[in-house]
Amino acid sequence: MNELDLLVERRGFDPAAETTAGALRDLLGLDVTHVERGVLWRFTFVAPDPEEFAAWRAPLERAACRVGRYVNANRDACAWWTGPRPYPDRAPPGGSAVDIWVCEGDGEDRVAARYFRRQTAAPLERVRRGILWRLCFPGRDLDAARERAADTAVTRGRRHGLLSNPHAERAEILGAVCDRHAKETR
Amino acid sequence: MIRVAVVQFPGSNCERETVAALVAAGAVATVVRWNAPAARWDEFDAYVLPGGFSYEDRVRAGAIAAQHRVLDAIAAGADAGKPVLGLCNGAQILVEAGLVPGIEPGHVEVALAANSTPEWSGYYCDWVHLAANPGPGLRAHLGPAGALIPMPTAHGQGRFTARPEVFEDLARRGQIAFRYVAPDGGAAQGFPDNPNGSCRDTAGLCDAGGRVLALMPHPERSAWLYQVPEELPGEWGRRRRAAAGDVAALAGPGPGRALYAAFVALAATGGAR
Repeated sequence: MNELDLLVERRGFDPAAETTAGALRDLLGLDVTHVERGVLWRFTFVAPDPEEFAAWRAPLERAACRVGRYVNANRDACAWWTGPRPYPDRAPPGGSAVDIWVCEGDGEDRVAARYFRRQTAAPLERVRRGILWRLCFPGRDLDAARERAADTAVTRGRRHGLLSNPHAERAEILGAVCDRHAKETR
Repeated sequence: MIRVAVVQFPGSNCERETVAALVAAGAVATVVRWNAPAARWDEFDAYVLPGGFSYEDRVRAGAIAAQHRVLDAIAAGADAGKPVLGLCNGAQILVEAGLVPGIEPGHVEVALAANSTPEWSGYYCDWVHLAANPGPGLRAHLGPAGALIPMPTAHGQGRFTARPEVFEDLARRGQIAFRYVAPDGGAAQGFPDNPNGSCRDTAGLCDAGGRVLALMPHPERSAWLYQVPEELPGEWGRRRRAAAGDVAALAGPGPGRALYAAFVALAATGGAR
């Protein structure tokens, strides 16, 4: 795999995530316990060797934060997702979580790619970005959580889906996880 | 008198000027909050969803407002033949709620995506020129005024889009109600005539009967002659220059007034389809 994923999340309370959680609960009747939101950047490299492109993490993050162009370092936190896919890698206690990546079109950002190439000289083939939604559900039924998240990911009509409009956006479930140690953590 | 509800969502910001334009067109217009009791909506003959940033465009422009229960009341009113007009953010709400184009009512069939042209992307604000395509409903009440209507546009997500065959079908059905055109009324030649890269230069899309209209530009910002810039090309710019210094003339109707007048005239036809 010749890709690096950078997750940019707001530090602390995210009003947009909270509004979305409220809409999902109150307007769509979804039993979501919590919603998180961030921007997921996916850098695809020309070079196939992971050791080579891993070294580009620091320069890319510096470029993203430079003059607040893509990341406001006073407000946002950056995290490189380096674990094995599919994401996510952590679940809420006693519950389950599903990550959905919503991109406009295929998410390709040519302007950002030019910017990162110019700032870092990284051998980038392409840069994609989109909103990463993490929906948390009660219970540890992973299939049910995944099914509810898939329903929520794509807007098909009133009371049916919210996070993406399929005529302009693409929603991809990146991963789902449940808390398998709920008894021990209680 | 035709009673029109101008629906104010959290984040709407054009409701006052929309009311003023409707009143100038002969309606009794009232700002009604989105969370008014369900029975309140039955008091009105027509509904307008004004521009703004409902719910701060969170998730996506119009997406959350479209899920609100008030849209059930508006959809029921539309089913009963009451005209509905969505302007800018109101248009985004109607599209996200599946009221427009409404081929399968309640289903989201198109999107209003981020502006994207080879020359411009992102928020754009300037005067554009619209022409009505022939069709029923509101357009039938426009008359010759529909040939060329200048008005401001101001949005970041106004690009009507879907698979090309969807817009071919909508064009065949006559549901592309308004299109962007060049200042002389000829076909739009890309940006800035078409300010957002909209499919088939679509500025406004309607339901099959032409009674529910989603329009991206702002007719309430050209409802009076004084709102028209003197340098605007064409007949309306000429009228504006001729009225310079004449307060009474400047307070007369601007090009956008015709759209509100047509909307009120349509509402006066009651539930007739």
